[in-house]
Amino acid sequence: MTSTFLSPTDQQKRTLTTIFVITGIVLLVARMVVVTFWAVYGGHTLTDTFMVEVLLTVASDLILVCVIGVVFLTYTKRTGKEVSYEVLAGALTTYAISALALLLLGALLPSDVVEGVPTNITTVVTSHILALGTFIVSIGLAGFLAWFMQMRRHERTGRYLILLMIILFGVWLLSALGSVASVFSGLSITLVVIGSIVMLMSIKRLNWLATLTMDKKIRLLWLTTCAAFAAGLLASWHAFNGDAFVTQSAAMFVRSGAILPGAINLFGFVFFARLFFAVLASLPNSGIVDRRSSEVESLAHLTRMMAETADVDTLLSSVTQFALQVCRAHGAWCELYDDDGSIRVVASKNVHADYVRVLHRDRALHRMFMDNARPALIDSLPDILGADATLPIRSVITVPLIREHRRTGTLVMFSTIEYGFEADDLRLLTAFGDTISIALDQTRLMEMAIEKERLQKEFDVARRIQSSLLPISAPDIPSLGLAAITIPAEEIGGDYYDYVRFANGRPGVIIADVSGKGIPAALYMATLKGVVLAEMRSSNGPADLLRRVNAALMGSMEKQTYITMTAVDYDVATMTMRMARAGHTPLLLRSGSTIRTYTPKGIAIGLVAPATFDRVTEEIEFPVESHDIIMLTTDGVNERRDAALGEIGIEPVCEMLANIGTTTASTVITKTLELLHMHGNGTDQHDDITIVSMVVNGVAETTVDDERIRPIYGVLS
Amino acid sequence: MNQFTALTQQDERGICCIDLAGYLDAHTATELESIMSAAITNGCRRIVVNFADLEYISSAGLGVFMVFIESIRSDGGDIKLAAMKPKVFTVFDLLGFPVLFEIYPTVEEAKQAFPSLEA
Repeated sequence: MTSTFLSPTDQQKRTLTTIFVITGIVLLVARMVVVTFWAVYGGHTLTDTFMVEVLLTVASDLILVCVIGVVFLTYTKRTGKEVSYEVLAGALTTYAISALALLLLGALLPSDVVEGVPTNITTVVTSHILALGTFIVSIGLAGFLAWFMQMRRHERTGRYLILLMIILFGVWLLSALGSVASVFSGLSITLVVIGSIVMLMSIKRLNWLATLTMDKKIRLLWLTTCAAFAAGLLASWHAFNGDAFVTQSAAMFVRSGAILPGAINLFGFVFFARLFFAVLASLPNSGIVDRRSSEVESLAHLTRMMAETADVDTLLSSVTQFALQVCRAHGAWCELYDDDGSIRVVASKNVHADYVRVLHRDRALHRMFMDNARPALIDSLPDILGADATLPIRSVITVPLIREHRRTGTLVMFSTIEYGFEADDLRLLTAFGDTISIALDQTRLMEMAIEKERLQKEFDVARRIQSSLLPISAPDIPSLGLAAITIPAEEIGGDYYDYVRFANGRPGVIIADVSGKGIPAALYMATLKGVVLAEMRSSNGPADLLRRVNAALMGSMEKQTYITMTAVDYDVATMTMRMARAGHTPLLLRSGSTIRTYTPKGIAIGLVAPATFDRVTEEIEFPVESHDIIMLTTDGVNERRDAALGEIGIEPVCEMLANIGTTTASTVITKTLELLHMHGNGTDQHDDITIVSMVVNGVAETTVDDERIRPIYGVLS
Repeated sequence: MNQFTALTQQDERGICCIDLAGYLDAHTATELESIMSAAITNGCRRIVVNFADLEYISSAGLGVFMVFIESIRSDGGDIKLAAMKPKVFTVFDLLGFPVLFEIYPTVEEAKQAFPSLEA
């Protein structure tokens, strides 16, 4: 039962409170009735019969127990609450108002007490109300003081609280004995004084008051003054003014009870006075505290804003608005300097376009705006510009905005009064400027990241499109095993190979290399594919195809761009190949263990008009035998570099071909890539690599599809 | 890395000689393009490109000469190439550039190939 009483649930607390309140009221009414019949109608004094006195005392004590119980329950409900300005101000207000109201009531209510006996019913009722009010206010104050000390406790708080309670008890006891011998009254007063000292010592940890804002402190000063006044008045009345109705009421309610509210209110007075001086002492630094806390809040707010905003203009707009509030400026704008020297105002608050123009018209000011590396303060603009009644700007702060180590703009704040800013504003804005600069860099990085992602996605699409331009499977060429691969140096490239069929029905292979790399080369590659598809069916051989392609593309290509290309066809019946070359790298033929290179005359596509091109381009024919290897490459193969920029050359490839023996077309490609890989030794590939290999009477092969390297193998019997 | 350089000098006959050195690839091609562009803006119509110290030329490097040749020839001038190392010549040769440009073993021969102005 004890434990439930000490830590009851909220529900139990409510029930207990109700019980206390009802019991208290019933007892009070009963007591009033008893006093009325006994004193008013009976004409007895309250103390002349022992039984009655005991009865009344027990009733009073029980009522007090009820009051104490309610107060106790009220404050234990608050244990979780931290002492804050709001709680303190609320308690002070409640106390001051109720204490002063009590005093007012005591002064106004009619009293008719003769020698400690109320003479009419009105006096009985009013004296009971006043007595109850006195005890409620006092016990409530005691509860608050105890709670406050608990909340701001230190190592000796517990001992002080117990000591204070013992002192209060002692005071009561001694005061009751005061009627026996006056020495006890003296002792009781001494105890009250000691209690006050203990009270003073036990109030500690009031530093948090310093962090309150100026206006809150001022309000606290008023409240503590009122509370101290009320407490002082109550305490002194109970101590010295026995004739006052309030004191008389308390004394009639509890014998020698007047001393207790007096003592408690004295303690309260000590507390309020201590609080008053603590607040008073913390007043001078309030300005600094206010400023500091608003600075910290501002920077935190700015940081949050930075984190939430990705767009530079939005960010600058909110920053301008915010800086305006923080510095109590009358207007502000953000100007950005473009590369061509023009000034762009992005975020303006209370700004006329003329303001910016007028300020920049002055050379010195213009330079200051554009070049200052640190924030600057102009206290009096008229000193510089001369008095100009039309321009309301009187003082200015400029904050440079820096992005990627470059001055990109200025945050300008102005006041319409001279000396409108303080040095502190400048200091705060310096921190601001740094933060904004970081934010600007961040947004730039974010924009870059987004842009990069967008580009990457487009590249991915382009890469898919380009790989769809390359043949998926080889055509049905009897007795010719085919394999091909292209590896762009970047996401997309300018190399191209394809399988074609000429007008006479002969199958063929083409390989081409657009000069340059990346997107331009890829666009030409796609164009070339279109032209080849359009022209191959009407071409009667490799040279004819090249001439048609040149005629189609000449004039529609950029001057510095050209395409090298080789076309080959194969006559299955006679086992001969025809070949023409437009500036492309030579064709390699491995026959037995000898390597032949074929370099028929020809010029790259897109360089010369058809007349010259057609004359220069020649076509050759050569026979092939079973197990011969025919290899077409782009210059990305023989120009594969190592770390020292040394090119591999075509010789290692020729050597590999000479020694490879009987093999498949895909093995030829694998071996070639191995050579290139070994030579490159981890260095970046700087040009697109394409290899087409053909093996006469090659064996069947399976298709391999690797992610980065996209080989496309054709298999034919 | 052999730094790419291109120096222009004009002789008494009004022939501009551009001396190339190092690697001429996609990166340095723009440099050469602006140098040649500047020479032509200054009135040069007879240009000899000296390849004696050029180590390497890429497809993009070759493209530079194509940019100007047409307009220069229509003005009655020419770009002549001279003193190529065998490796560099092979690149030109494979592409069929000898059809398009006159290529000489030495700078002097290239200069001599321009007809004298009086004639």
